[in-house]
Amino acid sequence: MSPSDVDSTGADLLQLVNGITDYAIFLLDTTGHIVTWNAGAQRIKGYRPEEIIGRHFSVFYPLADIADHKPERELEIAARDGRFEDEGWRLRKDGSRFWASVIITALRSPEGELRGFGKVTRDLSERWLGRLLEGVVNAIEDGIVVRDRRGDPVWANEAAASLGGWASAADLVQEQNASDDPTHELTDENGKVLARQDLPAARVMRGEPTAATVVRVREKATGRIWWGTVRARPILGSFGEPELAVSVWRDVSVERRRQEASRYLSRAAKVLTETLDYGTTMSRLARLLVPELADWCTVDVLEDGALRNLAVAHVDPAKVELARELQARYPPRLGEPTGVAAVVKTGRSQLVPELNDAVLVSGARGDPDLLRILRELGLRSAMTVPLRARDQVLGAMTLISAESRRIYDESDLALAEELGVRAGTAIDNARAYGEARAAIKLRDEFLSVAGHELRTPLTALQLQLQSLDAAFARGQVVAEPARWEPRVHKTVGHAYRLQRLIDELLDVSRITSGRLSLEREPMDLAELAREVVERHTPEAQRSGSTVTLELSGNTRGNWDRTRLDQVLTNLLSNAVKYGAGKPIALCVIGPGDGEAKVRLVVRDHGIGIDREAQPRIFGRFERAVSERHYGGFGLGLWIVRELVEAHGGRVRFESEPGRGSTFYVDLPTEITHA
Amino acid sequence: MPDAPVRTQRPVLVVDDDYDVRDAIADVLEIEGISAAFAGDGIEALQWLRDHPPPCLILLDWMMPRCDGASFREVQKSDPVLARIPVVLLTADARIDEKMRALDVAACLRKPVDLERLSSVIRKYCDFDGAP
Repeated sequence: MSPSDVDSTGADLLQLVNGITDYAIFLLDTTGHIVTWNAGAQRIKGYRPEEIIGRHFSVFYPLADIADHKPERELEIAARDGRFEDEGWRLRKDGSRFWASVIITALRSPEGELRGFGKVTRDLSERWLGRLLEGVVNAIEDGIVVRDRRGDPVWANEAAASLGGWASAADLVQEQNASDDPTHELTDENGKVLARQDLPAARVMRGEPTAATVVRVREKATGRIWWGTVRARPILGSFGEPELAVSVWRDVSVERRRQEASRYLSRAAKVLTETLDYGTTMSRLARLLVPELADWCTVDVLEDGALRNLAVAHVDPAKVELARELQARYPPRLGEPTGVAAVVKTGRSQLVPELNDAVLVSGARGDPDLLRILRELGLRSAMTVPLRARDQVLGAMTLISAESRRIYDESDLALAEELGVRAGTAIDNARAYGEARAAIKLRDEFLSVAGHELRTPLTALQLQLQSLDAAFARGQVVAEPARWEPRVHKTVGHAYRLQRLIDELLDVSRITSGRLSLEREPMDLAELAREVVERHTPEAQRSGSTVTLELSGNTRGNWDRTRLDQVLTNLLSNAVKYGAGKPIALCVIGPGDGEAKVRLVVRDHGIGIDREAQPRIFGRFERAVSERHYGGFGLGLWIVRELVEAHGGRVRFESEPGRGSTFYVDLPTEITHA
Repeated sequence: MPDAPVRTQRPVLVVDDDYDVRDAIADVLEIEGISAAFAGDGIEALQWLRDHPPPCLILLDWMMPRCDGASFREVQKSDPVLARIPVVLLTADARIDEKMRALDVAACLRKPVDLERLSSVIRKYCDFDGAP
């Protein structure tokens, strides 16, 4: 090639370079100052040649790069290695950034002397956008599905696949087609089924305006329910027609659950305060939760140590009937390791996300009939939560899904537990109200009994006093003192009896207000027993019975004599009153080996105590035979228990209706605190 | 009471579960010169009536164990001989009129019973033998 050829080729090349608009191609001197500027450089960077030639090339770099001396380092590398390549942000004249591919080449003389640098820059912003987009769609949790005009998915991100339950985005694209999806049931907020043409993607394809749509998605196979909002935007084709639809699905289940929970809780709050009959309340609550939250809802409460079913709800009345039959045939029993009994015992909720066959088999307790029914019911998922109030477990509520195929998770359990607390509080309030009402009724009955009881000795007292008064007036008392004297003694006895009744009433207030104090002194219980028996002999004789006293061992201790007199008197009076004229035994037994208690036994062979009444004979104002009048306030045994327990002792009894009762009192000989 | 006027040979039957009340009424009857018979409840009273000639009056308590005043009256009224014996009810209950109607008794005295009223009732029903 001749020099002129070279010259002309160089001129051609220069022309070519200057005409290139897709690349910025320019020369730098050895210090990095711009020497030439082509059309591409002007287009990409925005500078005209006269604005930029002579300036340092670092003007194209963001401040952060300049601070890092990146421009200088790039030239150093290019000078050393002959070439430097980079991709990164560069600045246009207007300050905007573009993503640039840069190649800097060291230019040297044939002798190897550095003459400057050639720099080729390309604007790769579009390629950057692609990378950006890829990063974004993979990073976000929203599911993105792109559909063609037929509605077939052409692309989806991984989030869309995991939202919809596909193994991968590729599976989603492959398995979903334009027809309605048979694997998912989509409904709107009101429960109306949504077909694919109702969804935003189809609507934007039809050119209809769309807002975000709330969709409830139920996976038919698993029963999993989630809530999404979906929006769609069209991608227009060359002719301005929607070519593709981009749908963005966002999982709003957490928010929806929260809303759903607060809706249920506020509806439950209304139901729970409607009535004080908690049986009715629990039925209403169970019906409120069916079928949205559960296909089955049952409520069991603990009453008198046993579980009682208060409510069973299912949308189908025939199934409710079946459940009642099952409840009757197979009631939950306390002590069972799982289910209602266990929840009531431990106070801990149970969540069984999948009621698989193994769970049903263990629930059937080896009963083939029950197992068959359980299998037929198609039970799917279950949770049992305690009904709780004031740190007490009052019962349990069970929610079971069947037909809906719903699978319960921790958030469902949290809602159920909250409902359990509210239901427990409602039961507790209703019970407290019932107890208060019963207490008021009892008090009113007691006042009427008290009136009667005080009038009886008052009758005797008044008749005697009025007789004496009349006898005095007639001078008979002076004339025949021996005849009237016994009557004076009787009035003293009646007054004493009245005083005892009034003391008893005062004891009630003293004990209930915690003002009972014991005056302990060394004393012998046997001695006191002898006195009390002596005092009761006339009364016992009138009823036809005898009282025998048996004493053994050392019966001394530190006790309140007056109070133990009351204990003995009350027990012995009862034995006489209910003893049916049969022999009564009072035993005082000193401590056995290693014991530090004196035992008192009062045994009669009278009418005994009805089994039904036995649990409450130590209650205040309780008299086991209240319907048939036996006199007294019905406070005697309550006072006995309070006084014995104040001494740190215990009282218990054995009774056989028609055969008599035996009361045992154990009193510690040393001071202990009850 | 050797010097008291004996108005009748027939006693008054006092039916009350409370010993002190029975005893006080007996003392009043003694002053009136009338003998007393006692029963602790309706069953004992019916037993006594079966074994003895009719008393001039039955003083009947309302609230008693086993067989109360109402149950006693039911049985008494079903027997034509016993039904003729006048009954005066003694009760601590305030609803006297209600009780009188329900039990169909001759009179009703509220406990605590006033001596004067008790004596006048006794005289009214036990005075037919004439003054001494």
